[in-house]
Amino acid sequence: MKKQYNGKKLRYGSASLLLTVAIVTAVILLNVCASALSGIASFMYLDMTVEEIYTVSDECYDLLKKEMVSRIDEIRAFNKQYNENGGTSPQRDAVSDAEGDTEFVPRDENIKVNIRFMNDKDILLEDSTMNLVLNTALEIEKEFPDYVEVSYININKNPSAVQKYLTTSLSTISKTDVVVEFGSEFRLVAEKRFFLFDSATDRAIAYNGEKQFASAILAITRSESPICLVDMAHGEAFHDTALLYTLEDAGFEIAITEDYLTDKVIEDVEKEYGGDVRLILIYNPNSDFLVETKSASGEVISDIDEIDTLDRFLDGKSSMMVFLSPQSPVLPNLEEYLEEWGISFDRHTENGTTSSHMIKDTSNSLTSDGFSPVAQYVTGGLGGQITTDMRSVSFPKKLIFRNAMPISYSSTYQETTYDPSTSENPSSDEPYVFGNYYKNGVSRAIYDLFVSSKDAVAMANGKNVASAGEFDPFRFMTVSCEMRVTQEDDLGLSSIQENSYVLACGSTEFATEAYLQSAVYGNTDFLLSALTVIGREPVPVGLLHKAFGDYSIDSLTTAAATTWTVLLTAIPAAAALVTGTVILVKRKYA
Amino acid sequence: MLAIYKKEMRSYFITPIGYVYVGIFLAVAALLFSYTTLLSSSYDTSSYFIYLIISFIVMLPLLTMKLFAEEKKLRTEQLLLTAPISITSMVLGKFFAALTLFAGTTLISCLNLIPLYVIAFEERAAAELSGNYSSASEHIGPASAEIVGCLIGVLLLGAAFLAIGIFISSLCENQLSAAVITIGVLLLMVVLNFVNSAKLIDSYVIRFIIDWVSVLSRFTYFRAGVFDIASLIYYLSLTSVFLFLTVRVYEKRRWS
Repeated sequence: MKKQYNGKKLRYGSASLLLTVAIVTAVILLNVCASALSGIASFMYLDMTVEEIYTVSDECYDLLKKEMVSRIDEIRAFNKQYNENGGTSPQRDAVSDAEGDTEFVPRDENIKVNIRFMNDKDILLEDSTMNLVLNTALEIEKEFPDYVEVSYININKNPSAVQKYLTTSLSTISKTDVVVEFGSEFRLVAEKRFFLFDSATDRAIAYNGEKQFASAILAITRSESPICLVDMAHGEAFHDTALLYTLEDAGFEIAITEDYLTDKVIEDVEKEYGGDVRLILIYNPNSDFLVETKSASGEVISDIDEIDTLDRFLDGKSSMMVFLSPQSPVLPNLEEYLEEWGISFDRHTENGTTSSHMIKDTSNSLTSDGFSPVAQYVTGGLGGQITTDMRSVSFPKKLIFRNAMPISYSSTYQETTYDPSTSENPSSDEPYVFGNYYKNGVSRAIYDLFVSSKDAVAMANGKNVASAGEFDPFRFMTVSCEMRVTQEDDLGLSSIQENSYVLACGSTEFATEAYLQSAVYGNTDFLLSALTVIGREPVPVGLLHKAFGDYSIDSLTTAAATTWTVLLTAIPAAAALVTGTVILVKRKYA
Repeated sequence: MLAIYKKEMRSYFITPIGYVYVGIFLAVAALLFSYTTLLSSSYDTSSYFIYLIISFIVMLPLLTMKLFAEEKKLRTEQLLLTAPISITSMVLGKFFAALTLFAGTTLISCLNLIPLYVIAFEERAAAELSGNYSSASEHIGPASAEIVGCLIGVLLLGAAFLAIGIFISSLCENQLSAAVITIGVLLLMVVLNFVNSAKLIDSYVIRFIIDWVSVLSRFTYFRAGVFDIASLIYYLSLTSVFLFLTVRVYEKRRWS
């Protein structure tokens, strides 16, 4: 072998060129293989970013494995059975041909989630923001190659390929949109949704791709997407859109209505969005909800009864979230209705003037004024169940309820202490306080979610009007539940339990950007956890957004920067040149 | 190989070229660094490394232009070709000498990072005093892991550029033409990447091929903070191929 290698032919002869070409070809093939491998194997690269922005978390993979894979396997099994049976009337898919005959259309037995980008791959990789989004999708595809596929459509060259998304979507499609598709279901996610923005500067401050993809995939592999109806007919003033985005992350479609709440409004929204309204959000209303009003003679002046609509809505498997604050005006109709759910916002009346209480806790507050109290978790009852995952870590995240109005149980509810030691099958390991109500076959209970520390006080008009105690803290947030059991058969062997929930929060600032978009606080995680109970949909809890590092230098003046520049430029270069000069001169005259 | 290596290293420092290269490199690197970080009030060093790579187009040919072209010009090439050393050892010796100077100067230029860490230390201390800082969720300072990644990328890319320069030097008769041609080739490689980035080419296939062979597009992974093994293999392959081609040129010359 060595003789042949040292032979003339190989060195400069005819075989030399062949050898050169062979080696160059081998190197090219090696690189092709390496590039191909990096497309399918995660070990081919290391994410060295501080934020680990190119790494999809294990929590995301676990969630998709648990929810997406099982669901897709079920659907594939169903489709296979369907095809084997030649379709089952009346569900059989039918396509009419010219003669009017129907044709059996087989279903896809290897159906996959298809993540479709609206531009060529190399152009997306060049884009500093879409690069991140594409990377996340490719990582998910690598992890679940049998269930997820990433594809690309250049909508400039091939606009007809995206027509089906335009006909059923309300928004237009741009080159930076992403369609997550599964069978006939799809979700269109705009580029902006993959990032969190600072509303003041409109600068992207975090990457939220994992959660967006997980939300979209879970939503489309379910049969429908629940709708959250946002009431805007009562002067509701949102601080920002963070709460709405959080609800979207939880898999809800957001429908905003500026009409007074009636059954027709809810029906119209359901028709327009093709799903069920499962949640009504009332956030910071400034005017009261309407009830049917009659004149002294009994003549109906206004037949709009929003409270009645809410009551009927909550009779089904539905829920409501109410956010008020100490600045909210007294809303007699709404608050009277909330009292039926055990919710009573604390107010103080003095000399005919009513003012809301505001919780102040200087020893457990984020800010020195004491009005950003850090809430304590409740460990028992429904409240404890909702926050189980959040409390399972060594250092549970803090929740902040800035400018909060305390909630008490309404007078019609009986405050009860649950003692697990007295129960054969305790629902909780620890005792807890809750309120319960039973009348005319209606059973409701109200549970604490978050409470203040024992050092908190309630302020009204600048005066201390109440103090919390060790066993009597102020309530920041409660959840009320109405339990209904429906017998499916006459023998009572089969029954289904339907619950409705009302979540009340005494702080509107709890659900603002400052707290929802921070990875430090648990406000977002809590809302997502709560929505798994009251929305009963799988939501990607625990998938954190990845905050971009702030690489700006705040403390360096221009003069200091210039000084550093001069020093860094002059000293090393001068040292090298002087050393060189000295050495060369010495050599010359040595 | 060691003898060739020592000879070349000595030649860099018994002539002004080594000192001029080190001086100019350190000054240019410091200026680029200050412009992109200190004067821009930013800890982000990604732009600095891109500008540094562009400066390699002009600076690295200074190291490679004389390696073979000068030997040919001074007629000392015959001595090398008839010396009892393999061509491969000769080429590698010269390559490693150039690489040592390049890598050494690049590592010395890392002293420029010191002010960033000093400022970051002071800012962190001030933030901790004010109570508004949580190291678990906030990062103040340069991204060290990304800097290490970029440095590795720069060294690999520089090695590839050196190999290209050495190959061109082996084909040229004098240093100036070697330098000019090397600058031209490196400039073409970099400009091709910018043409691709500017979406001037409509065909996806052509863009894909250019992107695949582009030295700069491979570096963007390092710049983004991703240590890509495929890019590592690419740079090492590129370096190996051009060194191999240089060996082939001299093998042919030696025995013809």
